[in-house]
Amino acid sequence: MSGSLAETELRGLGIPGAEDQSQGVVRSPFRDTMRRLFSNKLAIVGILMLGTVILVAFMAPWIASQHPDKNGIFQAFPQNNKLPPSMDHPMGTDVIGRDMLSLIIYGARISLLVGVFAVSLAIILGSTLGAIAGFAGGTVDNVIMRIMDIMISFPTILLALVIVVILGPGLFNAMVAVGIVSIPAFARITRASVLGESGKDYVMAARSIGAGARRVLWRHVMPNTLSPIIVAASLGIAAAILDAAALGFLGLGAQPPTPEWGLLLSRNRGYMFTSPWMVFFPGISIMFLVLGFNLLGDGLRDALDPKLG
Amino acid sequence: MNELLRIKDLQTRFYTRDGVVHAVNGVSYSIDEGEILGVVGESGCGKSVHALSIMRLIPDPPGKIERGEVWFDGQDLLTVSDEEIRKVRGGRLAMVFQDPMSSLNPAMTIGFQIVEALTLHLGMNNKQAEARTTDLLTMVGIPDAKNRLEDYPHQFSGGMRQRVMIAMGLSCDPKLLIADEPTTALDVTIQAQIVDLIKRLQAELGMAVMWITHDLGVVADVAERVNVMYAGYIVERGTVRDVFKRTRHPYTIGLLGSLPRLDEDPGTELSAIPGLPPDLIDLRPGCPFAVRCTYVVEQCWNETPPLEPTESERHTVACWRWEEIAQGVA
Repeated sequence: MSGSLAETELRGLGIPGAEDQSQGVVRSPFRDTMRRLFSNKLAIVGILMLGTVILVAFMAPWIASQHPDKNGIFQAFPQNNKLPPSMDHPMGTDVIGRDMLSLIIYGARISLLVGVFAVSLAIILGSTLGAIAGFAGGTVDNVIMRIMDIMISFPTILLALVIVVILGPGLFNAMVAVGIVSIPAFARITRASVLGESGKDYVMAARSIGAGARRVLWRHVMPNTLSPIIVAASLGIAAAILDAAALGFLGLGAQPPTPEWGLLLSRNRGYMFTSPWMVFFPGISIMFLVLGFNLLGDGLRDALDPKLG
Repeated sequence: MNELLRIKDLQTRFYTRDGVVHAVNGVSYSIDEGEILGVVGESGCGKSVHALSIMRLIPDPPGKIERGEVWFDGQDLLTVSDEEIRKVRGGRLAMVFQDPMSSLNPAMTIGFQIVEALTLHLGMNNKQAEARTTDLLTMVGIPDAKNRLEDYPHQFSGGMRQRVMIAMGLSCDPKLLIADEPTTALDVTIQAQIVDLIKRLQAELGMAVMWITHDLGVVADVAERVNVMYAGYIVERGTVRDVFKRTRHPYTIGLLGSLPRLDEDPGTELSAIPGLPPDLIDLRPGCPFAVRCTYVVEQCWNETPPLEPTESERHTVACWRWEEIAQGVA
């Protein structure tokens, strides 16, 4: 950090030679962030873990040994039931003889979708509400944030349960429920960030050149509030995946025969002591993906806000 | 000279939890086309707030422009619609802020920030706007301007950023540029450069400039007329020569007296105005300067002196005893 600062000042003063250090490199905030992110070993581990899951999810049709039919059903092979891990079935088979590895590979798609969808929903609604609350202030702020306070005072999984009960069980409704539950977190983060930025001089400067309130908020303020939102999104995806898995486990999320990881855990938990691989591999998969997002989130936080170091 | 801006009885207050802050208390004056007006005073005397009030940029709440008229170019800016005032801001009336380090959006290239003003006001397309932005940056003395449009604020030094801010202010050929302490945050050599730059541009473009500062030296250098502000009032106003040579207000006398002088014995202690500027929350009636004034008499505590002409019609002062001060008897 100190090195790059000195470099900037040298360039600003037009000292010959200073230019050479940054030959043709546009030192945008984005580039700076990426450089810091990739110099963080744990963040790289997180990125590699996520990369693995994403790659597996994309490559599912080519790497899985068993594939769902057009109704999404994996064929049962009762004669192969409860086989322990082997060369043919690296993660063993479940109680109706389905290949666990294939189930988990296809399940990766579901977990990623759940995480990204739920957090996208939460960002779109939560950040918009938070930005409006922070920028408008007064009554608008009060009304929005008190509603958020009420939402946040329920245990998340309980609130998600209530929403799923209202909407009906199912993977999509579970994603919506998890998304709604995450709204207050994003609203708060965005509001705090917008409040902090709105007081800065560049906002006054933007208004002084004739930009309207809407333009000032979305074009000038929001880009500067993205750092905490990006960090929260990365960590929020992890939480959303966990919540969705929990809903699946409780039978209110994805329904059989969807190979959702939480659901696999729940359906196989009766065989935990006789055939542990049936719960071990879905469990470890959830942990792997969630850990990946958490490591990336922590890395992003350090990279985006070096002051917190 | 045609009058460009006429302010009548402008009053701005802030309604805070601690009480009502009387930031600007009935300020009236005018600026002619092409004139440079200096506005001086200590920190917190209402200089910036009155400028922001003119542009209607006071954060509301807690701020409120209580009353007054701001006639600019044939319009009362305090009564026009929000849309109308947005057209004026950055168009005919532009502002340069004190701290160039924080007045540029850190997430946008400087090119984008100037282009924005041009597309907002002049309806230029991107190509025209970029060409003009390059011209503007060159005009304010940024070398290799064409290749710096894509640079971010953090890649510029403080002085260069202030030049960028000035370019942004000038982008739409304003008739009046409000420069709110444009040199305060800069070091001395850069200060001089920025002062020269604004002076040169003012002469070239023929715009009027309101130069807000607490640096009397800068005012003497650039301005034709000066408003001396204290506690939200104008206490003395006139040409630089009148105010500096025939000073009539005790506050202005104190300000000038606290300046170090080159022709003084280096051992002489600098004189300071005793006390602090008043708390604007419970502003008592009477002259706001009475508490710190060495010329104070009974009348000062009860009646606020109006801004009245002195020997010259164009030199006005708000003091009960200006005549005695002029004669040197007080």
